[in-house]
Amino acid sequence: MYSKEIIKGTLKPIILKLLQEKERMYGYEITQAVKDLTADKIKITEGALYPLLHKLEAEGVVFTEKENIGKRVRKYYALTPSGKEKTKELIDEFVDFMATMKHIFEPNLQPGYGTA
Amino acid sequence: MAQLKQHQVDSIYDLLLNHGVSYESLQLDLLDHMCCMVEQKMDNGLEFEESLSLSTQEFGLSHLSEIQEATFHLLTLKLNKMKKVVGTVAILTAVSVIAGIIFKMNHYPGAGLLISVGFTLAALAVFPSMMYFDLKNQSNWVQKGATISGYLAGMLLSMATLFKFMHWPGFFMLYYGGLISMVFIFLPLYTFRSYKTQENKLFALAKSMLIMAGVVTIWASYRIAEHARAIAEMAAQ
Repeated sequence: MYSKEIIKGTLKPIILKLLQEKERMYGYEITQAVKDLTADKIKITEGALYPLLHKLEAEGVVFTEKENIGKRVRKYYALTPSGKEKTKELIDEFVDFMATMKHIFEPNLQPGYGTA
Repeated sequence: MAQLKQHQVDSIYDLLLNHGVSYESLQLDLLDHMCCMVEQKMDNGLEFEESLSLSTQEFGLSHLSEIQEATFHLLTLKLNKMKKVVGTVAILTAVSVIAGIIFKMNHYPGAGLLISVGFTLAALAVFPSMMYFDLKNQSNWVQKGATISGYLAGMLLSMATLFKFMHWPGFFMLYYGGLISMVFIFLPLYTFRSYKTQENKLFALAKSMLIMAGVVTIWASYRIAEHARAIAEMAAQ
């Protein structure tokens, strides 16, 4: 389990990446998928997930579909067309960021990454 | 795959309500989430009651109202961005009204366009959206009444000015509608509210009296202008 400090800021790219792959997901499904994919190293809490999903909905990045499941309503989250664009940009940026991090934290730090 | 019965879903819903989750959209999310957790434990052979108490422990019921607060916090950040847009439009509106009137007095070209754009924006965009933002933060009914009647007066008086300027019929209805809303609804509610809430009662009354003086000035200057025009017309005859 990674510390909160490190996970902070990765939540949004993770959720958007999952929605990009799976078309539509509900909240519990997202938390389980992250748990499975990271072998329990990253646990998304409800307290972080739902506020973020609601914010993304308000920003028009995702939209929701309601469906009756048994005796309750399930809300599915999916990317809007403009949300798909934004997701692509964010994921590209995030992949680039990870490459930079990898360079910084490699042994024998060499200056000049990205300028060559 | 276990499937919760109606009364079981209801008992989880009551749990959410009792822990302060009142925002409907979030209720649906959290209800489904808790139900999924409970069902998964029931699939592993536990009874409903046991699954529920384990799930609530994992979930941490005391965090529920915090989840709602965090949601509201993120959503109001969005609202603040909207406020910036409205604020910018409001400044543009004020500038075009002021510039329009100065242009008009100096007989510069473009005065008509500036004035009509300014008052139309004020009446149809700026005042309604500012009213929306103000109402969102208010829960007291007297305060809400004052906000609605105050902005309504602003909208009507802006429209009245536009109609007068364009020589459209209906000026009087708009003008007196605005004045009546201002004097007979807004001012009493506003005075009542500020008298009750402000510490300095004299100051509260003084503010209301100043607003009243402003309204009387607008009303009188219109009457004087009409009077002057009537005299000028009589002289011309």
